[in-house]
Amino acid sequence: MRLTLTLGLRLLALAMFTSTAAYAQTKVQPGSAGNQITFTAAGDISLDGGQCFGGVASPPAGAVSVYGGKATAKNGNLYFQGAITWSSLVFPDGTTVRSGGTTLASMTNAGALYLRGKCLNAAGCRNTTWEPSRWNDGGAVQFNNNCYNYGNDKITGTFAQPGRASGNQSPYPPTVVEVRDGALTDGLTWVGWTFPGNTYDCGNGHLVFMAVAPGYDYHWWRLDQVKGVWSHKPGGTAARNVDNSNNTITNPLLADRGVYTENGGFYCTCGGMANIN
Amino acid sequence: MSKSKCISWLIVLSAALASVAAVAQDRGPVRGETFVIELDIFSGRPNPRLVLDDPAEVMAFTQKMKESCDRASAVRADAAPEYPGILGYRGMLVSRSMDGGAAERSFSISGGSMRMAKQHTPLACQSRTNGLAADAAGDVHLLGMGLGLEHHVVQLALQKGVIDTVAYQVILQGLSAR
Repeated sequence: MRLTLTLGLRLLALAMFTSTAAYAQTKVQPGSAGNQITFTAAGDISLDGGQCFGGVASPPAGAVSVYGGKATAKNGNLYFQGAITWSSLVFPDGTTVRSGGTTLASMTNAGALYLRGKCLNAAGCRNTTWEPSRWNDGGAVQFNNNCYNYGNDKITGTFAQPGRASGNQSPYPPTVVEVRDGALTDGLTWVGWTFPGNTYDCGNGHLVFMAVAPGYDYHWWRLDQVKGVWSHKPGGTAARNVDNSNNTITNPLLADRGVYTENGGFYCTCGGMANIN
Repeated sequence: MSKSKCISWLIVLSAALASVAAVAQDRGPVRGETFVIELDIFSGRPNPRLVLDDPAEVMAFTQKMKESCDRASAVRADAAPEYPGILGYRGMLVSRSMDGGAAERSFSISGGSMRMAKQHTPLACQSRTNGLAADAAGDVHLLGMGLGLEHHVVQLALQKGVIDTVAYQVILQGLSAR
């Protein structure tokens, strides 16, 4: 069964989060842009455009409230005040959404979302989240995937290099211009040199940042949308969500990046779907 | 065949045999330990690797390793420092093979501490690790080795062109911060 409803924002809140009704696989229309949200029976939130963001205390200007202000929507993106927990098997007290006897999601009064599935959009881009167990296996995944794999949220097992998949790999030592060119030909899209904010609307995909250690190497960071902080994976070591001084990264331009001092710019990429190798 | 021609042939044959012997020696089975040392310094680019299969280089490396292991203290896994995940110089990941066999990840060194797979302990450290209990992962941990072994490897990597002067400076900077 797949219901398509066109509802006002108040009804959207009721449709998505109610403690009694089963509204799985219900399409709702959160904003005037016409982008629709599908809440599937598998517990995924599927967006026609945009992504989910968690840990957003200050939603972007013009976002409209969809759950008493604890969540907002704009241009097909959903912004939750609290953190988002993917693949959750626990659903703390709050309002819940169920399909038959199965709880698919809940939202706490603080605006934290617990979701049985993930947040996906029509382009298939994964919502990036801090999930170290996916990368830090102390074996093949960890050793054979680098910062570019991690930034693009794509495991290739090839220590992916910017431009290699598109025949435009930069020579050694890398420069900002060359690494940027390689990434752009791989399909990443340019955002700019200045910090765009952690609720930047990529449309499809998520934000990444690149920096170069002059004459030496390059490095990538990614925005984990579910907590509004950045994480990265230095080479074949474990993914981490702190900088070289062990501080949380809310803006990679201000983080302790060690020798990676040269700003290589911000980009958008489609998580899990980028053309990298 | 004249006597002089016979002697000439013998000389040619001897030279050929000596040449074959030399080639056989060059390509013959590797005896003893050899090492591949990955300098864990990059994030995006693949790390540089230093191959130690020259007997003199292996001997110098194992001598340094023995000195380092002999001065180190053994600690339990929960007291051992974690291998750093920072940007810049992190440490060295060493694979070891015996008599030309398959290389196995043997140990990591970082800032004077060593984490070693008990099953693949290098000969130079076996006297130090004998009797030590391995942790759940099968590793033993040594602390207080000093930085001599790491400096030795970095110098050798620079000499052999495995790293350039920029990477060399980054590693020295990382070692001085430990």
